[in-house]
Amino acid sequence: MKQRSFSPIAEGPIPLMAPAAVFLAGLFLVPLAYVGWMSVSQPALGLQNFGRLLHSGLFASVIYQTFRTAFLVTALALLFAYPLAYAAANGSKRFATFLLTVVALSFWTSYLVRTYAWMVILGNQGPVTALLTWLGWDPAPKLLFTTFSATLAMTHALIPFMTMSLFSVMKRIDPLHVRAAESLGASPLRAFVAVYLPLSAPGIVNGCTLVFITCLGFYVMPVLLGSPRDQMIAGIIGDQIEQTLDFGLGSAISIVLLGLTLAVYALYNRFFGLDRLWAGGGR
Amino acid sequence: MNPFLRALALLIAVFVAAPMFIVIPMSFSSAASLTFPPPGYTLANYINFFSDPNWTEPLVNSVIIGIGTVFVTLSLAIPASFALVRHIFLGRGLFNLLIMLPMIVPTIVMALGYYMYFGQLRLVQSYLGVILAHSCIAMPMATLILTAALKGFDQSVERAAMSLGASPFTTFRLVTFPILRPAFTVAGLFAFIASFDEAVIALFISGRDKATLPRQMFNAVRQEADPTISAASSFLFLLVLAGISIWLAPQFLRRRSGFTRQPLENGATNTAPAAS
Amino acid sequence: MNARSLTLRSVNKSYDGKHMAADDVSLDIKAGEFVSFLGPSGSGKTTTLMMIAGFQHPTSGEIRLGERAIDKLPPHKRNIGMVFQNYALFPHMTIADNVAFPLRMRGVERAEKDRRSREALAKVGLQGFEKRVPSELSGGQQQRVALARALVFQPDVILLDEPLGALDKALREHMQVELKRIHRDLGVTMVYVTHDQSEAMTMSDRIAVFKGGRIEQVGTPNEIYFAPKSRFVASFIGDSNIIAATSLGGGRFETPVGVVDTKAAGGDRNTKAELLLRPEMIRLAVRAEAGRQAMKIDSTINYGDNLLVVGKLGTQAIRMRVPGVDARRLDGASECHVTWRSEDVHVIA
Repeated sequence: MKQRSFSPIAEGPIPLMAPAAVFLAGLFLVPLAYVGWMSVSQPALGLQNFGRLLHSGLFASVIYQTFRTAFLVTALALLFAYPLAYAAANGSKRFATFLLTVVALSFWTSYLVRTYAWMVILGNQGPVTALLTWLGWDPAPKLLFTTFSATLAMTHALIPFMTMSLFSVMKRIDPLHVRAAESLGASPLRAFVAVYLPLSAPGIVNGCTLVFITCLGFYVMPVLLGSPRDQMIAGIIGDQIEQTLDFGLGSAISIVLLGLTLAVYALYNRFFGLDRLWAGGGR
Repeated sequence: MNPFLRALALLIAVFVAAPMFIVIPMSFSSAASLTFPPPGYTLANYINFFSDPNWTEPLVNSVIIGIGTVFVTLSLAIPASFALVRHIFLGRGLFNLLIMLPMIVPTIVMALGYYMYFGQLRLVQSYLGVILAHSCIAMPMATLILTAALKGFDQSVERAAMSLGASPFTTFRLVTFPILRPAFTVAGLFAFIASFDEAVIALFISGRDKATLPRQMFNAVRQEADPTISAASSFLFLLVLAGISIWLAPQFLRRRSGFTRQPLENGATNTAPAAS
Repeated sequence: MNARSLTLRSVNKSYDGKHMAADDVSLDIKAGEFVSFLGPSGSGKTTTLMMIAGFQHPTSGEIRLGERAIDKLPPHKRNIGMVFQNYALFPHMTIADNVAFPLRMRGVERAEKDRRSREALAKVGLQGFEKRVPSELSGGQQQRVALARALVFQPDVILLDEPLGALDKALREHMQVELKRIHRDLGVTMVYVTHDQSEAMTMSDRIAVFKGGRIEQVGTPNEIYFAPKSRFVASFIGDSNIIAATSLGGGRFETPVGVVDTKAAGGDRNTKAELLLRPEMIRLAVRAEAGRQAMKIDSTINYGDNLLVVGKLGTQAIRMRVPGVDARRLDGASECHVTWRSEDVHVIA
């Protein structure tokens, strides 16, 4: 028996969706289109900007660096987040609450607070350097403003995202499945690998996709904590805005970044469908 | 659960939480540099944070822009979520995609776009420009929260209200809105925080006069000159800590009270000790 | 209470122009009557109820409350009380505010509003619950609050959409009695939607049986039970034996169980018909009747107060209900003799 939805506000959807639609069209799509337009019209009409990028060894290395870092961060985040999410999904209520509180605390802390924290921790007057020196590593290596510090900071910042993606899927895994496997003769490790791991796969895919995409476009932490010689894409876009003022080139780089991002989403959509990503995995 | 696993999870949790706590002792440091442990302790950083206009103005700007973002975002997202959940129309999928787009497009690309586009419209270095940009950024999350709440909303209370004589508008005012108010509040909170913490767009379009707190912090970190950054960081971190504690407190209090009320058919209620 | 009559005239409802959710529904409900809409899911009973309430618009047709045509009126102007399956109490208001809501909508003054709310709560046996919140109440209590809320403004008609569906059996039966009592005391017109036929049978003055968007039959519980007009109605209510028959004229039929006499008038020879014989109307006979075979017993199910005997009479599968006191006569028997009165056989068209 179908019951038509009944909305007391307005009879039709148009007055309800129009404000948001118009707003986003004018204040989101237009600036975006503007970037596209600038990429092929500054300083002159044509695809010269893209041509420059194509032939630029520097740009190629930036892309490589960005992807390499993104993959690394994603893998590390997964490594750290999986046990965390597993313990939260399968542990006692108190332990789970504790873990999730920690994750929430990290999730809500702004990137700039983190950046400052890492600057203190990894700085040459900070605790890590002190520890390394005390262990005999003298002079201690430079930890800050390196690819290492940027990668570490990004991983640390993205663990909460990965954890939440994993957790929302793991929470729905019926523990009986694993118990059934064990009752059929599988060792706990075997049961985990053969049953639990595949069941948690949607969470893994979701989390990795989200983290990877965030990494591609990351600005604050790579710029403030990373090495100026090994920049990521967002950083060089920022350079065009602030320093060289080459908006044509900056727009072209942005389009490339956008293209790469959309490619990842398209890949995900092809296999899983986009609304799964935002529903938190598994319906 | 496997004790090894418990220990591992605990270790990771410590790793996740610990680094941020360092900003608290640093905020009391008397040194101008990033020396840890601090050589001496002082309140100077906090005093500066709350008195130096280089910091107080961005703080106020961020609050103003945040509140503006909440208004704009909710005015757009609330009707949009009603449209998405309660109506079936051609282009609904497309509309949904449009709303989610700001989550897909990298912020730096938008920052460039706004810089160039708002530059044309003379909207850079203004509250309005940043508010409008931040509202776009906040829309996806706010809409997700609102649509989730609406999907779980039982419309029979609306029908009941109407059958009892309430006009559609009165129904919304007296029934729908009060019941959805928590969701509206959460969506608004997310919008505020999204705006308050937003650094990249603000960095490029908020301008020196209307600088936001994140922009000020970004520059302070880059230049490593002003130790007030420690107080600013600590302040923000403690806000988050406080917020989470407030959110968690009711759950702890309920457990401690040890009593639960149980309704009985005959109308009396039984006050019984909780099972724990 | 000022009860009114409710009239539906050729009400149709279709969402897509092809499938009829409600198909030519016509019904005259008298003021003060308790009518049930009975039928399986998707039969159109709830759709029709929603059209009376105003939450669905008829594609065509007319709905009148008393003398007034209401099908163009929005729901909040119809002055119709409604009780929903999931109670639909306002979770953010106290019980008192819930019950007083319709009075508030009508601008009733505070003192009178409080008085009438308290009276309404007392009528449903919940005096003293004013300050509580819905989440503190059990299902049965919430349903009674919903009822009080629908009664307090003295509506012309009360619509109930499977209100007892969420309650457990004991509570449901208790609430059925309560609802009947309230109906008797107040004399208000009630339209009650349910898929539970025993509920409809016990509570209604009349039952409208729905199928596929149409009303198959309207009648008192006795009429529906003893004189169903279609096979669907016959088998939907209660237990039944439907026997295919060929008329031999004069109320006599040739059937798989043998020749059956009925009290039906005339009838041409060789027309086909279906006969209804309720299981409880078949009784054990001491000896074989003329022309009647013995019933072969396949299995029996003991319900305590009656014994269900499943078996064959002639070539037809037959169900018979024997009163518990007689059950012992069939201990171990593989067949038995049966009889029934000809006036208990009903000809379904």
